[in-house]
Amino acid sequence: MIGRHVVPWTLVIVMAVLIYAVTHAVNSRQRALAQLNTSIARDSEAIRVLRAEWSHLSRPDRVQGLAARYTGMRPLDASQLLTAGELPGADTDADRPESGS
Amino acid sequence: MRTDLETGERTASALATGRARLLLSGILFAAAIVVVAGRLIGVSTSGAPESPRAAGPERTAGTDRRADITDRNGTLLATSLTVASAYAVPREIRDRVGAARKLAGVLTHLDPDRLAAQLDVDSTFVYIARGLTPTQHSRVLQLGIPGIYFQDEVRRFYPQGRLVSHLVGFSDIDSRGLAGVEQQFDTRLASGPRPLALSIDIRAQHIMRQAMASQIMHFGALGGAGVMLDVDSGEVLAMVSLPDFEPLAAGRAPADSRRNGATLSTYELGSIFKIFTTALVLDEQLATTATMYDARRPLRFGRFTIRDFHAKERWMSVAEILMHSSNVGSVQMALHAGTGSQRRFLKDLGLFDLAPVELPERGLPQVPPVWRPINTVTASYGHGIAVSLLHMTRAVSAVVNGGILRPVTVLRRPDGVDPGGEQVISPATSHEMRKLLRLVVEKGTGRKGNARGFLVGGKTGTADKPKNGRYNERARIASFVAAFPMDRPRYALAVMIDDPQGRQETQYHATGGWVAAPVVRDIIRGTAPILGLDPVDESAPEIVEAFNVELPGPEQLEGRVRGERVALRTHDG
Repeated sequence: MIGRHVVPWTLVIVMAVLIYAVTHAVNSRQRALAQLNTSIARDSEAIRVLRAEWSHLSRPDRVQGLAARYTGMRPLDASQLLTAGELPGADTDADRPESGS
Repeated sequence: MRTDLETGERTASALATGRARLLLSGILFAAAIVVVAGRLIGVSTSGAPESPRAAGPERTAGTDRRADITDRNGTLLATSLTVASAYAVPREIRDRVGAARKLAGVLTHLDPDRLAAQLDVDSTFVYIARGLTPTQHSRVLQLGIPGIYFQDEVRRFYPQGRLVSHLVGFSDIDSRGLAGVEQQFDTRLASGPRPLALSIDIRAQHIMRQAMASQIMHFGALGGAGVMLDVDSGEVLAMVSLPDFEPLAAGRAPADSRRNGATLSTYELGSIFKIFTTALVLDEQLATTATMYDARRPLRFGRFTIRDFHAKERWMSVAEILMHSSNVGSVQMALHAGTGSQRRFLKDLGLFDLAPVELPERGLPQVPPVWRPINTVTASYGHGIAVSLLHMTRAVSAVVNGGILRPVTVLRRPDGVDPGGEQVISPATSHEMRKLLRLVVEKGTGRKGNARGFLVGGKTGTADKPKNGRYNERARIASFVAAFPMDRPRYALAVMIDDPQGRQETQYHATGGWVAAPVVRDIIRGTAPILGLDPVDESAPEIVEAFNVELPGPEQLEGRVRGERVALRTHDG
């Protein structure tokens, strides 16, 4: 009589343990997910704040003021722009392959 | 034996009782263990009750959060950040006066007596302060007053401050747009977090604003306005109105500062209009750039006398009239074209209607209701008709870009999208006008606008401001409109300085050529390299050749001076 019920009972117990383990794992994952979501929300809010701060600190007038104070750089003048061909010593033949010169 | 038997019976019954008790308590314990085990499983499997509705990232990061506004390169112009607001539940506060005093000690902008009065009600919700800084937040927390709570709120911030105040606009404490792009695109911004990219470039915006601000200060002017457009796409690259305001404190700014002088205000812009008068006679094929008009003496129309500032007192070619900004010559050209075609031409250039741009602040041009010959006369040199600086820049863009009037936009246009538009003048006229505008900057009244290397073409304007129905010669509008590079124009810009005062180094002149042209030159010098334009050698033979405009020589002038007449209609019809 016992022999006839051993298999079903074992199955029931194994299933119960499995279900318990799975449910437990799911729950702990859910808690981790909730925590991650909270921290994502916190981080993305922090990113928004930092982006706003970056935009505020890199205002052109502020950067210009800092550049004038610390670097001595000035706005670019058209005369400072040259094409490659206008460079001193630039050789227009330089682009061509060496042809036995 | 009997006793043995009895003893045996008693023993058996005691055993049975013991067994029964054991069984009962065994069952009870087993049941208790089953209950405990069941509860254990139940507790550990039903899980944390908050987890099913745990805050997803999209909820706290806010699907309902108002979208950011950026410039064309993604620089943040407006954003929404979470801040803490403090509120009180007065019922829970015992010592309301003391609490008010403590709070006002930390939040210094609050008045303790008023706060105490606010708290002295039997309600469950009173705002104490909205939008606390993190420092204020922690200080209020440290006070530890029972009945004081915090809630997260979303607030609008403008990291670039005053730089783009008129264009971006501002919003109220509940993030509803009240001006500019914030108002125009309120629904779009409120509908989701996708950022809205504007067409402006804050680098160009800064260069324009700074060049204008320093000139306004230098000439003791009241303010000014500037607009820069991409002539092919109609995108606004920069738009400045001075004085401006801090968007976070917009409510405290004077109305004058909040007014967008580039789109809402309309001005009689003066000689800049001669561009259109010239384009009119060229486009109607009434004249070429060499056609001569009589500018020998002032013209009289009723109570008006039209004279030139630097009168040449001779016949002048179309090119010379624009170059020297001759009023008399411009009037002659307009009269030659006639009232009807002049009016139609200005209307085609969009100068009579609201400018097609996505801003709530748009000024309707002031145009004479009935167009009489005298209106033709004054409109030929830009008086008696008032338009916004945006109208002007857009019309000039059409004059130089091959003749297509584009709709203007403050949003970044995706590459390869046709902005649409209408052909208002012929490409040939546009070509001639580019040469003439270049001539004005090379040799005429606009020489101070020349940013060398970028083939600037433009036109000066100086207009007396109307006051109480009369023109005030002491108060002026100095303006300059330009486009560059003139061999293939990419950008057009106009700058207007309101009421500049002459200075010694300008020989007490406060004209467009002296005041506004240098601003435009500085803007072009600063922005052209940023916008990826290479400077060219303006003295190169092919460029000199391409921009060569024949001016009348002594022989032609000789003939005219001797009194050779050209039949001119002096009035329409």
